[in-house]
Amino acid sequence: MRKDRNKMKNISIMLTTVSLMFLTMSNVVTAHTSEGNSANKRDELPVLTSSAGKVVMQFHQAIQANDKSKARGFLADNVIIYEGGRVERSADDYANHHMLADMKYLAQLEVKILEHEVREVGQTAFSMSRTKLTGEFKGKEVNSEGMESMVLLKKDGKWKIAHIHWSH
Amino acid sequence: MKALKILLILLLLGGASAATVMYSGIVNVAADEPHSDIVYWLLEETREASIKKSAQHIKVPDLESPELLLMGGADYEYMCSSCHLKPGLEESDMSIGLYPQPPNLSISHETHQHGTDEELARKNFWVIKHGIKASGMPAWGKTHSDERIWAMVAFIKRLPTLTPEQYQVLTAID
Repeated sequence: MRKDRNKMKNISIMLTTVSLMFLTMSNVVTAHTSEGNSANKRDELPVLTSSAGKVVMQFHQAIQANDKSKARGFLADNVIIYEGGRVERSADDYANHHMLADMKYLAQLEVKILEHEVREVGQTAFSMSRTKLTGEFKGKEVNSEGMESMVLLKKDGKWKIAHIHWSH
Repeated sequence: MKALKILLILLLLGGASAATVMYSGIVNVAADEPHSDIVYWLLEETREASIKKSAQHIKVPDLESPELLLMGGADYEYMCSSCHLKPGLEESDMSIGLYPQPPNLSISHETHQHGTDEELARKNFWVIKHGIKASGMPAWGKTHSDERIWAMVAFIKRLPTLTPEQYQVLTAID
């Protein structure tokens, strides 16, 4: 029964993500185009001044600053996180497992945002970003691009991250 | 020898005159009574020259990072907005009552502001850190790190471009 509920929740989040991405495809293309024109400088003000975007940025900052409890606070209790073929099915699972590895990894690297789009649609918001990671981790040079999709849900006036999909 | 005597007498007279003015109570120090134009000009030019000289060697960091904007926004709201205003707030009891009147940082001063963005950032950092005597501007450097002060400088740079709604989001503390 619980498995069925989880499966339904997964499907619903995936459908929401796909449909929202489809709805705003034109905006994503615009953001991508402007990246090439503005060289290295990206203006994050539009993201920071949307309440959902600010939550996403603060979550990123907390992870990079190694602040576990703050990062945990931005996640919905039942967040579902897809990363590297693995699934974390709650905020506590992630906070006690893979979050620590993510923090160690990102603490060693320089992270540059290549593009970032956040849209709020009622009580749901989605965030899509690409980042460039450079530096050295465990003696190996890192020079890669990461992609991130998030779904946020607003409850009691606060945005919480309900789903994350990371790929590198 | 005679010249020295004259100089001494002049100094004594000058000191006595200054003491008479000081202790007679005839100088109006009320903040609701503005300085004469010449006194205002003298004080303003002195202040600007002092800030420019003191700030000239300050190294300006990258002020574009999102972290600085978030940190600076919250501090601006609690430490600065009541005097220096914010989008949607054109005046406050403090901005009306203080003399000299604090500049409204929520509007662009491009038309009458001299210097580059970097010079302005240096000056803003110095003023926030050290304050200005007898103006109501505190020295925030006594209680705040340079990083937090630079964050406020970064936020002030973007402040005139914000709508009231954007300001609200950026400065809110969860």
